[in-house]
Amino acid sequence: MTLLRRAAVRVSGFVARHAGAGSREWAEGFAREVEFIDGDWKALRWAVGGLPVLLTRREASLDSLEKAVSLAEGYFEKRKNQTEAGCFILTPFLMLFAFYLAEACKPMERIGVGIVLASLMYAIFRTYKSTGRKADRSLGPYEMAAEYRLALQREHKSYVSWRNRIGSIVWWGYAGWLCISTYKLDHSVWLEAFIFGLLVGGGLVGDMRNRMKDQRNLRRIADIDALLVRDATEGM
Amino acid sequence: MDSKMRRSPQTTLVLAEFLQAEREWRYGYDLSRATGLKSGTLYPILMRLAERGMLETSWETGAEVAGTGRPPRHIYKLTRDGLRYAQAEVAAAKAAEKAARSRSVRPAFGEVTG
Repeated sequence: MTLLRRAAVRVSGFVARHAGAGSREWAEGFAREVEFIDGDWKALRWAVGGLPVLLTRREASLDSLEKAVSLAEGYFEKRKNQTEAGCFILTPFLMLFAFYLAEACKPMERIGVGIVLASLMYAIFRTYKSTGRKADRSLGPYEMAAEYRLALQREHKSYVSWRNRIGSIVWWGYAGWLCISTYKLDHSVWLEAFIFGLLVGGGLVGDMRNRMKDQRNLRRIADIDALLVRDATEGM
Repeated sequence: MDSKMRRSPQTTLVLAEFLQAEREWRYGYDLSRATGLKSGTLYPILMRLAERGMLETSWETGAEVAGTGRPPRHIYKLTRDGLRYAQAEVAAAKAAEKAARSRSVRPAFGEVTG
């Protein structure tokens, strides 16, 4: 099997594994076709072409309050784990920049590192405060769905805030610049550009991912609203 | 059946391709080759058609793949509703194309011909 064919199989396999429940069968069928395409380039184009469609396909809309509750439980559990992982990942950065602060000689450098350090501490605090809450199991289905909606709404507000979006990219850019200047990589412009690009690119990819997530959240909010209204009117 | 299916030239192409062999099961890649549509365009169309009950999907059965040593493929066929819809859509597209062609050869108001 050629390298291109192997890449095509890998990509289509990835699509089949990560497709949403509503489009899994399609993704598997799509992936199976790769084996029947004659040219390797054609196979790769086929696999890559279907990637965005099958991975971003809208999941089946919520049709019952029970489903919303089950999603809410999964959401709160995931957020709790993500918060712990986020704090775990951010802590070494915190220590690294604390080390930079101790090493920095120039006043401007100290101010810069201090800003990054403060923003890191704030990020950890915000992450923990906004997402680290556990779901209250004593809530009824209606309240649980409402709580879930509120959490999604909060996430959306945080996303649309331009400070968060621009801030994260600027932060990654600044962190990249700081890494470069600290390690004195002046002799290799390409390496500097690569590190800087990698960090800014990471920020941009993260922003794109958040954009997709935000669109899904908005759809889910609309679905929950419809369910809550239906539940309230049925009880009248 | 939901009549609010988005009408697009690509959807009409796919429907016309299905009409070429109404009763036969078709493969995704073969449809893509016949219509010239990329996988990223073809699959959303197939999925929408299936969601609206116009397309039947299945997997090749053991008898079809027995002895060939290959895995079963996902196959598609128009349902009865889908067939009716496809015939109407393709006819409408042909009529629209014909009307557009006749409009383009008709002289504009005030135009001197001959």
